[in-house]
Amino acid sequence: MISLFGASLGATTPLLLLGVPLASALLIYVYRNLGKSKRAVVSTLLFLRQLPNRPTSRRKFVPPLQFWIELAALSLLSLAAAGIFLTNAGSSVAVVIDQSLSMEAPGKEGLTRIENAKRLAVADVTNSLPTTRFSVFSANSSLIPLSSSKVSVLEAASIISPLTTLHAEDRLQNHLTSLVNSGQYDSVWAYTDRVLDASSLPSNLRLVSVAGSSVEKPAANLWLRNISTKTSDGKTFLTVSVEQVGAPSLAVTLSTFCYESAASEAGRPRMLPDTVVELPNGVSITKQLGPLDFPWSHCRVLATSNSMGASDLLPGDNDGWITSQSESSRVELTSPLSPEQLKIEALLGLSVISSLSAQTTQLEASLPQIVHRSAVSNKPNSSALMVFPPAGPLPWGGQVRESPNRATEISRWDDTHPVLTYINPTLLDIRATRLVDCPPSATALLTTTAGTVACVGEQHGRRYAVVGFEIFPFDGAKTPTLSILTLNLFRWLFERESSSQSARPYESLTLPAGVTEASYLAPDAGTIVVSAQNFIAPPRPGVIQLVDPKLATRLVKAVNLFSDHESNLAENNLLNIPPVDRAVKKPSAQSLDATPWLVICALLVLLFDIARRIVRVSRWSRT
Amino acid sequence: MLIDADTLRVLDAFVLRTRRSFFGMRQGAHRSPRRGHGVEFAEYRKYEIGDNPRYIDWNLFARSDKLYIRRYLQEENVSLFVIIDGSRSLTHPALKSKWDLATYIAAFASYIALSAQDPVAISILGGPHSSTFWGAKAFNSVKRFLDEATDTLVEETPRTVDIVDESRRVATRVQFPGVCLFISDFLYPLDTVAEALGALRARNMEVHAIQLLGPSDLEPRPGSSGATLTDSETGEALGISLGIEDRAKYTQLLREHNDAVRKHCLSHQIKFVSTEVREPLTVCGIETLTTMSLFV
Repeated sequence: MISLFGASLGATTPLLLLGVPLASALLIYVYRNLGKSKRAVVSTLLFLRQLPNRPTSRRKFVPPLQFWIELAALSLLSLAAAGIFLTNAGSSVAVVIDQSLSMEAPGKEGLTRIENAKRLAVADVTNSLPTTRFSVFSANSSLIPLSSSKVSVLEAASIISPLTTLHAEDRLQNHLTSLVNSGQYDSVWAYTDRVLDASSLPSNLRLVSVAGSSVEKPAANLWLRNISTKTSDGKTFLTVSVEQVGAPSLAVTLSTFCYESAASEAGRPRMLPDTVVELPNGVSITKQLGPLDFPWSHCRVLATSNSMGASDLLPGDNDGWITSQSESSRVELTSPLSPEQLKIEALLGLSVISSLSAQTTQLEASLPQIVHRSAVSNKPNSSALMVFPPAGPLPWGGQVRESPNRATEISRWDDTHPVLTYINPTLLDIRATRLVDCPPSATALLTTTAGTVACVGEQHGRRYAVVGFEIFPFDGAKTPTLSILTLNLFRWLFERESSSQSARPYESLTLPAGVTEASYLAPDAGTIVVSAQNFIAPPRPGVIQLVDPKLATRLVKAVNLFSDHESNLAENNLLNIPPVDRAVKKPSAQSLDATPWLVICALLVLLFDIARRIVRVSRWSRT
Repeated sequence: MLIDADTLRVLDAFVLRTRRSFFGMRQGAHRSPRRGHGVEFAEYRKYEIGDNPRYIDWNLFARSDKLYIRRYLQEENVSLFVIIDGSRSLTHPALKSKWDLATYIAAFASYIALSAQDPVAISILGGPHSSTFWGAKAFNSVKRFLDEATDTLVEETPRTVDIVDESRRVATRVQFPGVCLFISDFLYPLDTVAEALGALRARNMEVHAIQLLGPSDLEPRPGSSGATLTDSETGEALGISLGIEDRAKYTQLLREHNDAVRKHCLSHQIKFVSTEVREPLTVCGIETLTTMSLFV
C-alpha cells in the first residue's frame, strides 16, 4: 500500500501485481526470440555474409510499437486482476474492544480473551493504511470512547495495549448497532468473545471473535448469580444463588465475611459459618446464609471449590458484595393521579415522590421520573418513564399521536430487549393507546397494526421509555403480562438507581447529580476515575462510596456483576446486528475501485491496436 | 502466362534492331555481312568465270571495256537467343516474381522477333532448352515452353546451377550467332558473371544483359527483430539481425556489385539493364524492353 498525494493506493490481491513485471519479462523474451522463429528465403547470402556478424541473440532490443501496446494491455489487466483501489485519506474506523468480565476467561494460545483481542486489534490497526483514523471504544455496559478524537495508527495501538477487563457486562448488541447505524465510520471493528449471527452481516461491521470453545473438562466455571437480604421473623439473612457449568458435580463452599462499618474494612471481619453446596452441572442453587444478628455495614460472599482449585475459568465472578445501608431509590412521579391510585407503592424498593401535575410539567429534579398522563417540556435529567402521554412532541425527539379508531393488536415486537423478558406481547390486552413516533435514539419495542406504541432508548447515558398505553394501576396477578411488563420497565429503567437490597448490580454507573468523587471502600481503598461524562466503570467487585461535596453526603454502594450472560462461558452469545441501509459513508472516506477503469483502459489499448492494424491494411490495399 | 491484346498491340510497335550484322539463315529484314542480291548497292567486283552474266554492269563495260558485276547488300534474319537464369534465386516460390518477370520479358522479346520472322531460341540455364521457333505463329509454342519450364523449375528445394558451364553449353548449341538476351539477377561473384557472359560473347553474339532484382534483394531482411535467412540456392541458413547501419552497408555492397557488373559489361560491349521487379509485371517488362536499345 502506497500513500500518494494524501490518498492511499492498495490492492485486494497484491500477489497479482507480480503480473506486471512478469508480463514485461515475458514480452521481452518473446520479442527477443521472435526473430529466431522468423524464416525468410533470400536470393543469396553473398552480401549479407560480408556484413558484421550480428546474431539474433546479441542484438540490441529495440521494442516496436506493438510491444508497448501489448505491454500496456497486459499490465493494465494485471493491475485490474490485483484489484487496485484508491482510498482517500482519513477513512475512519471505530475499534471496539469488549472489556466485559467474560473477556477475562482463558482464550487461545494460553492468553486471556482480552489479551487475544488486544493482540489482534493492534495487529489489524498497525497493518492498516497509515492514513486511516481510528476511534477506540471500550464496550462494557456503556460504550466509552477512549480516544478524544480520531487518532492515528500508532496512537490507536498505544490506547488499545494497556486495556484490561472491567467488572462489567457488555451490551454490544446496542452499542454495535448504534455505531453501525451512525454513519460516522467507514468501518466498525469489534473484538469480543461474542459471535456474530450469520444472518446479520452489516457490510461495514467486522467482528473478530476471540471466544474459545465451550467449557472443557476438567475446567469448570463457578459464579454467584445473586445476593440479597431477606428478613424473616425480625432476623436478616443473606440469600445467595450460585451456579456452575463444566463439572458433573461440584462441592462449593460459600464463605461470608461481614464488616461492622464502612470504615472498618481493614478491621477483623465477622465470619458466618461456611456453607457447602453440592452443585450439579448447569443448575442454580439458592442458599440462605445467616442470620446476621449483629450490626453490619457490608458483607462479602466468596464461592470456592477445593476440587476445582485454580481451574475456574472465570474466578472474577465468585466474589459478591452487599451493603446494609438503606438506599431505597427515590422516584419522582408526575401524574394527575396519586401513587395510591396507581398502586405504585406496591412495587418494591421505590420511594415515590408524587406531585399532582397539570398537563405540562417542567421537570427540574435529577431524580428518576415517572410521567403519567402528562407532558413535559424539557428533557429529564435522569431516567424517565412516560406512560400514556398526551399527543405532542417528546423531549427526546419524536412525537405522540392519537391512535386511529380501530382495533390495535400487537403485531411486532423486539423480543431481544430485556423489557420484554418473560412476556408474550400478543397476550397484552390494550384498550386505549396512542401511537409513538420513536425518537432517533430509541428503538421500537411494541408495534401494533396501526403503529408503534412503545419505545425504549438511551440518550447521554440516561434511559427512557415511552409507553403509549396505560400500565397502571399495578394489579399484579390480575393482568400478569402487563404487570411483568411494568416490572421489567422499572427494572430496566431504574436498576442503576435501585437499592443494594435489590441486589441487581451496577457495574458502570452514571453518577447522580452533584456526585463528583467515587472511591473504593472494600476490599481495598482506592480511587475510581470519574470520566468527563460523569461516569464511572469500577474495575472489580467491592464497595464504593459516592461523595457529593456540596451536600456533604456519602452514598455507599456494592459493586457486583451478577450476570449469567457474562459468567456462563458455555453459552453461545450471539449478536444480531441488522444490516443497515442508511449508514452512508462520508465522501471523504470513500474508496475508489480502479478495476473497471483499468479494464476499460486495457480495452481501449486493444481497440487502438486493432484500429492501427486496420489502417495499415487499408493503406496496403490502396497502394 | 496470360498476355492480353493491349500488351501485344504495344509490342507490335517494337522492332528488333541489332548493333552488328549477322549471317542469317534466311532472308530477312536485317542487314547481313553477306553480299548478294539485295536492293542496296554494295560494290563492284571483276567478273569471274561462273558469275551470272545477268549481274554484269554493261554501262561500265561500255565506258571501261572491262567486265564488272554489281554486288548488293544481303538482308537476312537474325537469330534471337533468350537465356534465362534458371537458378533458385529466380525459381524459388518465395522469389517467383523475378522468374515471372523474366518469362514475360522473354515472351515479349520472342514476340517482337517472331513478328519480324526472326528465329528465336530459348534456353534456361539449369533447365530445358527449346528448339528454334520460326514465324509469328510460333509465339504460342514459346508461351507453352515457358509455362512448362515454370511448372518444372519453380520449387523450394535448394539447387545450385553453375551458370558458367550452362552458358558454355548454350553457346555450343548456337549455329548462327545473333542477339543474345541474358536474363538473370547477376547476384554471383563478378568473376562468375564475367565468365558466363564471356562464353556467350566468345560465340560472337551480341549480348544484352538484363538484371532483375526483387524487393528482398533491394531491401535486406530482416530488420532489427532478426530472422533466420536461407540461401535459396545453397540452402545455407544464417541467423541475423540488421540495424540501420547494416542495411546501409548492404545497400552499398549491392550497389558496388552492380556497378562492377555494369562496368564489366560496358567494357565488353554488353548492354546492361537493371530492373526492379514490381507489379504489374507486363508493364514492368515492357518498360524494361523500352530501356534497352535492342528494341525500338
